[in-house]
Amino acid sequence: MSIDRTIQPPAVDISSPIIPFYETILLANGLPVHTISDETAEAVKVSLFFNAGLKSTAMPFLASTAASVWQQGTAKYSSLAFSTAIDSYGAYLSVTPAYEFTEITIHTLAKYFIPVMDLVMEMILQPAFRESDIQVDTKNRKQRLITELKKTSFTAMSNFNKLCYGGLHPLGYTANPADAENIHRLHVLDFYEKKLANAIFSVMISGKIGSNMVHWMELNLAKLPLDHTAKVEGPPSSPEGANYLFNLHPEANQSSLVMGKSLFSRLHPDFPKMRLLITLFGGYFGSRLMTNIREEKGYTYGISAYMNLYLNCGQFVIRTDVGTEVSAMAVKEIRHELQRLLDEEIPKQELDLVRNYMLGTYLRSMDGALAQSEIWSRLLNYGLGPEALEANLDAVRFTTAKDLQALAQEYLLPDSMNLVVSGSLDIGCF
Amino acid sequence: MIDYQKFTLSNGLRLLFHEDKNTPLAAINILYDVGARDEDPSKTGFAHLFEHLMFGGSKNIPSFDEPLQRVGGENNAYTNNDHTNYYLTLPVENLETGLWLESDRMNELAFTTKSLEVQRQVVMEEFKQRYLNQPYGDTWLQFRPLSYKVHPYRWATIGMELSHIANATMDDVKDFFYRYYRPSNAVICVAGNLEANKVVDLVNKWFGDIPGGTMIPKNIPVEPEQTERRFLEITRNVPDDMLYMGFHICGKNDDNIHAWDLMSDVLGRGSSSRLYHDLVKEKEIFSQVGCYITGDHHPGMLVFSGKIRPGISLEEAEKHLWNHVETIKAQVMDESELAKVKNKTESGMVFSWMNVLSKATGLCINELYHDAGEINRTLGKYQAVNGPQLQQLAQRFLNPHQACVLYYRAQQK
Repeated sequence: MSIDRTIQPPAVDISSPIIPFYETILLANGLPVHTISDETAEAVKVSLFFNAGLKSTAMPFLASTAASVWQQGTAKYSSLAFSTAIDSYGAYLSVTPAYEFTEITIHTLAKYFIPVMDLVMEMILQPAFRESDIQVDTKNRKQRLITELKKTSFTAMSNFNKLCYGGLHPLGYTANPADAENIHRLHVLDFYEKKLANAIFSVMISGKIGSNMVHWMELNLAKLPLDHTAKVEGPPSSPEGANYLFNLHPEANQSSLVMGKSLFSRLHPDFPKMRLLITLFGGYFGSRLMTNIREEKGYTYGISAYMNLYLNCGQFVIRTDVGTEVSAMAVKEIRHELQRLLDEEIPKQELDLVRNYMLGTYLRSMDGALAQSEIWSRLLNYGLGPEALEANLDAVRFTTAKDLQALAQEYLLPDSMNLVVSGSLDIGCF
Repeated sequence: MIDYQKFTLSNGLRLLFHEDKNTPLAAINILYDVGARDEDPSKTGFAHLFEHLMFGGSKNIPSFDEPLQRVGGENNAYTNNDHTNYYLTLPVENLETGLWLESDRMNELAFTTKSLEVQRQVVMEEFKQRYLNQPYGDTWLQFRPLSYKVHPYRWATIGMELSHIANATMDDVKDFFYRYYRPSNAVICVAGNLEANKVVDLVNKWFGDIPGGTMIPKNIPVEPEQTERRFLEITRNVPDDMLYMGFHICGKNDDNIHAWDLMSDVLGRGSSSRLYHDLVKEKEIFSQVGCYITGDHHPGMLVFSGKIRPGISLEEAEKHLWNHVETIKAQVMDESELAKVKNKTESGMVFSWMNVLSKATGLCINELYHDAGEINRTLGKYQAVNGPQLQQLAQRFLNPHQACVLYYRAQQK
């Protein structure tokens, strides 16, 4: 008997996914260590969070240079000896400087946890910050930036950031290659001593967690001075007035377009609902922007809309690279799609599809202890907990089409958007 | 150890099943044995364009993505020179929707003119975005034809030029589909918290009646051995000079591939590697430098690449790379240095196999090129590599007359 291929097999409702939880241990110094255990794993991931980052300095490149050179040797180990020691255990170490926090991440086989973490501890307490390592780092950083400035996508985004946050804000400042040359050991050391050394505030460990690991943390991490300062100390943003900017790249055969505006912070009550709206608009393959501008018109390889939200500021972004000759048409279509969110209620079928897609994404993001650790860290670092995750899921399940239309009318007026174009043709929109 | 079971359907489709009790998701991976190397030299970029068309609707289902997203799934695909891979994850309860979708597009595509017209445009924009509108974006478009004279690895997956994509016709599409997108030319892996007999029944239900097709013998020309140094110099509007130097090595199935992989790690992987320490940190010749193998099915390349610091000439930078090649040839590698990259490889595998989809993809790729069980033998093969083996390989294959060198010069201001 042949099967009827036109009928979709019965599907199971996925609207009530299970929420896997973490456990928290408080060390003697008050440092919270969040744990997500997976007995079947052979490996473990440790994240150490410091309340310092790009927000903590007005000096361009300083936070990123400090993060990079932090892992380049200690009082005892040269840069090469230190990275060789880490690599010899097959471990992966990275230090990531973000706007608000700096994160040290270690991936290691569980059997090498102690020796690897002993090395990391030495790095935290006695980093070398050698001038020679700093100079190589900043020279190469400068070269990378010079290459980035040749990319239409880079200049479009950095100018857009300037419009959103203001040119003096760490998120809005357009770095100049020469800035890299101003950084010396005394700056990096000062940043480490004043900002990083006393700034640990949270630890997340996931995977195969043994009692020896907890014991190690009680012996070592409990000795670190804990950060008690507020989580936000970045300067206030001061959005600029201009709403259209063009950067000339004479040889470009595509235009990089960035459209959007300053938006609320991560803690704003409208965030969970807005996430649903923006996913529908430009956050997945079947989104309105992708359907219209890629799948209907073929103007681009990809287009997306998303939010970058922090504790005291945020932005709404639409990004795409489109053929030079269709740039103006693409902008017209993006504006048209924004207007449609304001004018028309979203059909039930489309909204249900996005709800299910997002619930599926939630399942994927919670697949395994390591993945769960990232979701929980993102919430916990912002002082949020399980109730925020529930609120996000509720917003996905229950926000109505009317709610979403009202949100669009409040936040997504086409005329409230900035537009930055980098390419060979000034399309002069607005 | 990744446990799996293998079945073969009557139409030739190979099915692998892996049970993973630790995830609420199921993964479906389908690998087709067709890539850019199977293309006609006058119609390059076609395998990849075709991959885009696989999302343009099948005979009975107008949209691939929508029904999948509706049950909480997500999918993607990639094409390389050797194969084309389609993969998805979804809540395990909804596995059958994934099988329904994948089987319908293996059975027959919709072949709509609209989809072909739009995806031609999309792929041309992809070509521009990735290869033309980026500084250094065209490096591999230049380096491939320098390195390969006969073998189809001489062109990139995206194609040799935009016109090949612009000229693709519906006849090309249909011909390609019926030639390569047949069950006998594919491997499927289903992984998740499932039972084998249920998976076999469902795969049989949806894929069992698709006509098997005939395996077409591949007449891919063999690249003749290189006998003299190849050199190309180009100038572009980029900030820094860049150097590429490649050597022909072996293919994925060769016993020596693990040794080559470890050699490239010792030279170029991470901040404890020889090249990084000596040429970025100590001598400041490069601002970034790497060494890696291409990992192709047919004999591939060991490639050095690096961006050169201002004030250093390409010629000088090349000399420094040769010094490292000569060191590898002259001295048996220290056991501890070899152990370091072996440990890194081991932990890389452990982290990678923590994910249900990477296991499904890994099983399919191993089945296509060896048999699925190779996935569990690979680490042992890395462990068995020894210093004298590396030295002999370097002496045999890393010589001046075997080098392909590209000078990517920055235009003088």
